[in-house]
Amino acid sequence: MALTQTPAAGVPAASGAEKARRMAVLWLVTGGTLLVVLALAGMLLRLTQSLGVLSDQWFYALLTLHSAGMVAVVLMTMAVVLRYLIAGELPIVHWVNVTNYALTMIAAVLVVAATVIGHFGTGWTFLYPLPDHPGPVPGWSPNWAYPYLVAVALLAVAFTLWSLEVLYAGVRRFGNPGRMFGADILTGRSKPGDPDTTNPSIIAAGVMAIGGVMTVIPGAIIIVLMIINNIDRSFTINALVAKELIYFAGHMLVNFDIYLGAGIAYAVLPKYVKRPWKATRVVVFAWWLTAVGIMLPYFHHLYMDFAQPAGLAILGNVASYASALPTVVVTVFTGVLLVYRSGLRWRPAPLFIFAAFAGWIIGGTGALIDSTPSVNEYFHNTLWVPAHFHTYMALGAVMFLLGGVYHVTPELTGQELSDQVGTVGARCILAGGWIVVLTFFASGAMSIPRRYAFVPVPLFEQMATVGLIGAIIVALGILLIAGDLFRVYLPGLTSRSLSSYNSPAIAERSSTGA
Amino acid sequence: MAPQEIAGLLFLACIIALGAGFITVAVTARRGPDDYETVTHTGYRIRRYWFIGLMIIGLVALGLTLPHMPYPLTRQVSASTPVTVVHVSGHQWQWKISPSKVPANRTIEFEVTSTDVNHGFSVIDPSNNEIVANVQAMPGYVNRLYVSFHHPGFYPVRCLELCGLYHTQMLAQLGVTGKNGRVPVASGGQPPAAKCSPSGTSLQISAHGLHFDKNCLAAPAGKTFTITFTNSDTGVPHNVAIYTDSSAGKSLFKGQVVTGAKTVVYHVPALSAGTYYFRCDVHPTQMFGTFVVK
Repeated sequence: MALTQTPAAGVPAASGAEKARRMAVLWLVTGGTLLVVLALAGMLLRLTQSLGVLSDQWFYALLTLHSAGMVAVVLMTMAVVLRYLIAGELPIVHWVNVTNYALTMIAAVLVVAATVIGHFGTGWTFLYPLPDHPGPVPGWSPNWAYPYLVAVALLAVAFTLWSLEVLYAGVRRFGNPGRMFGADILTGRSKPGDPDTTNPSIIAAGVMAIGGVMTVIPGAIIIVLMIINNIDRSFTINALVAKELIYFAGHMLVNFDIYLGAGIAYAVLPKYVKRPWKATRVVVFAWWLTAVGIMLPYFHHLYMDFAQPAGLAILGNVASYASALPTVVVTVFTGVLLVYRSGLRWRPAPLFIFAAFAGWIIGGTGALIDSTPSVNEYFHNTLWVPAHFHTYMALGAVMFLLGGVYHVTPELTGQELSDQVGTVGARCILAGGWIVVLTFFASGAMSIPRRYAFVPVPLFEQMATVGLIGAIIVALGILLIAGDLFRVYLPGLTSRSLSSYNSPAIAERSSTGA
Repeated sequence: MAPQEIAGLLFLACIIALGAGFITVAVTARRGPDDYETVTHTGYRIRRYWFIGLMIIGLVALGLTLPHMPYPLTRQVSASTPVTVVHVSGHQWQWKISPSKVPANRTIEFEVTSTDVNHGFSVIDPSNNEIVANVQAMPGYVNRLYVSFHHPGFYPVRCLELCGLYHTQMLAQLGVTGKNGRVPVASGGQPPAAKCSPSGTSLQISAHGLHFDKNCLAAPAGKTFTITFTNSDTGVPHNVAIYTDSSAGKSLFKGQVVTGAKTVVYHVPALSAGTYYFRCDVHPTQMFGTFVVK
């Protein structure tokens, strides 16, 4: 299939097309269900901070479930949607897709068991040695660290498989990695949009794949070390090394969540604004910078660990600022240009994508402020931290995901999701979501700590109550959209028909975004 | 203005500016469609200035903030500057801070470590509940943080790194003394010497969330009395012990340690008149108060 100037509509090659379609439906039904459950768990946390509903033991268990679950489910679901969107050029290897689904589901069961049954409550970052050292009054048995650590390992394997499969498919398609990543465009040998050149979605997926392969190494090391330590307590790990490994892997995973969204935006938005998003030299160069820039900032998670050399903190600071440039100057700016006076009709897909740009850049601004060491001293582990990542996760990554889902639904199911439900749902999520995150930011500026069920300071409960109201509005929006999603997707789980999938009418809709 | 307030206001300005931009583009999106070549021609020119502007902002921000990083590299004082060294050790779920009182307007060197898991040592300004000092307490490492306190008072110490079930109860106090060497009582934070008077020989006190519900108990002089102690902290051991003073060098009465949830009645022999000190021996830095006998 020849490439077009804009990323293709996501219609995979004929072989394996039906398998890819059914797997995508399965992923989205499962991922959607998990996202709803995890969002409601998050709402329960705010409910506890406002009204004291849960015990501390349940609070920390649900906090761990909510945070670990969201990072993982958003990651894998977005990876699947982006992979599907580029499957027209890079056919999906089916057994990898199935294996990833199985690994992710087993990981989900293990995390739910560890937290809901075992009350494992370390927070998703599982900092050594807390998992096997719960304290004199243990909130969980150290044995529950095993299923949690194994779940993290399985998720890492799943994303690594996804990464290797993307790189394999890309090199197979273009003949060499350079052309997959736009080296021919950068050197001027090809022009953006020429036949047989790459496109921004493929570059984005490829850069995430490189990051995925890099992440598995430190992730695997720390998980294995911590499992050994859990078995034999005399085997200890250097606390700083453990933190560096955990935060590198964690930093990469949450960044994948948002950068995968850029790949989705490149494929989806042009269809609705009827303007191309080409892999220009600037876009290619921005992604090459991102391949490095996504990794180096991670030192900013250890600013308050003075044992980390100050030089690395400075590197983390400079890299944090620099890594924002490709996003802010290239991706988000171009996205805004594409929408500007485009005659766009605000259907759910472009609405979610455009809203995601806002969430990304504003959440990123909050992150940049906190990535300054002299400011981090006053914001570290306050509610400013969940404020910024909820902004670019819930109001960024999840918005990109929903935009992608609304766009591909006709191809996957033969039906459209309701524009009306999608628009109302989007407004609820945006209105409620901004209340949630602004409350978090204000609380962080007041030094209210994160990961506290209750803080005996003025305004804590009041701020939590305002945040809870926002969370309830978000929940309403999510439930509306989820209901519509299940209406359309559940029949698709058992449908084996290719006719609706490949129908010209649907292809026409997908290519013009009408 | 505190650094977090400045940062908060800056961020608010950014939200307003960015939000206004996105809303404007969203509202005007229905118009057109304008020719995209024309849009990009102007847009790419604006992008050039956007990029240069961001670079300048970034460099200015680095220049202004790097010299104020909280590390010994940027805060360590010269050898001739007087420094008070405070040893801080975190342990699930209490802080050991020695000395627990420091003078105002003097450089304090906190040497912070942990004996078990990662904790977050944070000192809170009692006048506005905002962080004035923050550093991680890591097992196997000593992190050095240099701070000066300008206002005497009792500064709450809070743990900021999730460390288990009683993470939120891991509290302590740092006293900052004035010129007279004392911590002012009415300074916010928790006053150390409360006042109360005897009202019978049956005293009551309870423990919840690693805190006593009273910071003052009183009993009549020369008479035996009882203390009904309710430990509401399930699985947590507490007791009530009475000492001559806060150094806990000489004990007047040591109640049996009980693990909650449980209620026990202590029978205390008669004490002579005086102002004494009571505490929980298991959590001495968090659970204490004044014992008045008259």
